[in-house]
Amino acid sequence: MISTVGSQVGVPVDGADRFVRRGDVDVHELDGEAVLYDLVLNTTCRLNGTAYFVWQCCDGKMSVDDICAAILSRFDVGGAVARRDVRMAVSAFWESGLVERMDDGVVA
Amino acid sequence: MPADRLAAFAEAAEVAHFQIGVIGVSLHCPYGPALRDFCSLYDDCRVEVPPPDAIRVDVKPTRLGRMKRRRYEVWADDEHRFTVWNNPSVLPHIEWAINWHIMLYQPRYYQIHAGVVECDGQGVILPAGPGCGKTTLTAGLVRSGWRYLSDEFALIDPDDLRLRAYPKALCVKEGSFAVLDAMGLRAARRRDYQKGQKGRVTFVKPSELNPSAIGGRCPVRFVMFPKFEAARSPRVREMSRAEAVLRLNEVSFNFTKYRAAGVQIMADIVREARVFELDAGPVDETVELVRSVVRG
Repeated sequence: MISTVGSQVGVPVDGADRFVRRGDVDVHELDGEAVLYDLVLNTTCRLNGTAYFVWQCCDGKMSVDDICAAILSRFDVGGAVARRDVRMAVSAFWESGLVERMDDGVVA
Repeated sequence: MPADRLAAFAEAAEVAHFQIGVIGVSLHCPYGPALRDFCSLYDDCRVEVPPPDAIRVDVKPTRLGRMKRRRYEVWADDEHRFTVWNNPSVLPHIEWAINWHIMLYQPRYYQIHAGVVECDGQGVILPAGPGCGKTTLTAGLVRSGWRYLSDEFALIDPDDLRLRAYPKALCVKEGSFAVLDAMGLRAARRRDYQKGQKGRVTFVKPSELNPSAIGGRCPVRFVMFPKFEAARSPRVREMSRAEAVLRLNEVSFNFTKYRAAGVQIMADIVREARVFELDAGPVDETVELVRSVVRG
C-alpha cells in the first residue's frame, strides 16, 4: 500500500483515534498517487492511490473508523480489508512522523 | 627566443581552456601526454581564454621518497582530489576531478546521475548508478543517430526544467570494450587508461560516434531506468510517476542542496514525461527497443 513509509508497520491505532497531517510535509500528486517530502526530516516517500486517499482523510476530524467507511464507499473492498489497510496506513504515517494524533494535544 | 617569451610559451603549452557544453574547464597540466589526450578528446571545445566560472584543474608532478618515484597530484579549484601514481591514470583522474567538482559546486543545475540523449528535440534520460550500462547504451543511441548531452550528468535548469548539455568524452569501462568494437568504434578507442578501482577504461569522443552528435537544450520527455543483463531480451515496463520520483531521488547528485525544490523539480519533470523501467540486454537490441518506444 505504501512503498517506503513504515518498514515496521505495527504501532497500534484505535478505531476512534483521529490523526492530522503535519503541515510541514510537501505533497506532490502524480496520477492519483503521491510523493510526500518531509521538510523537517528530509525524507521522501511514495503513497499509492489508496494510501494517498487515507492521507487526505487525516484531517483531524475523521476517526480511523470514519476513514474505513470512506474507503468502503469509494473502493471495491470488503470491510476487513479496508480496516486492515487503513490501520496499516495510518500506523505507518504515525510511525514515520507524517501525522500527529489528536489525543496528543494537537489542534486540528 | 627571449626568456620571457620562452617562459610564456612554456606556460601556454601546459594550459588549455575548454567550454564543454555548459561546463568550463581550465586545465593546467605539465604532463604532456595527458594534456595532449585531453585536448584531442575536446578539440572542438577549445577556447582561447578561460570561460567564466571555469573549473581550474591542476596536475602537479612531484617526486616522493628515496627512489624519487614520480606521482601526480590532481587538484580542482585549489582542492586536492587525487594522488596518481602512474601515467595511464592521469587522464581518467582529471576527468574524475572535473565530475566530482561539478557534483559539489555546480548548484546552478539540478543533477541526476544519468546518460542523456536527444531525439527530435525530445530529451531522454537514462538514470542509474554505476555499472548499469548507461554509457554503453548512450553510445549506442548516439551511434544510431541521436544526439548526445552526457553519459554521466543530466543537468536540469530549475528555471525552465530543460536539460543542458555537458557532452564530455564517454568513459567506457573495460567490460564494454567489445561492444564498442562491435559498433565499429575500435578506432575510437585511441588508448586505454587506468581509473583506480574501476579498472581499465577508455574515452570516446562524441563526434566519433556520430559527426553531428552534440545536442542542446531540450525538455525531458522520457525517463528510462536501465538495468543491464547481457543474456536477456530487452524489455520496457511503464512505471508509476511517483515511483519514478523516488528512483530519481536515489540517483540525484545534489539533492541535499535542493531538498524540497528538488522534489518539486523531479515531480514537474515526470509529469511531462513517460517513465519506464528498462531491462537492457544486448546493446543493439536495446537501442532498437528504446528507439521504437520514443518514436512511438
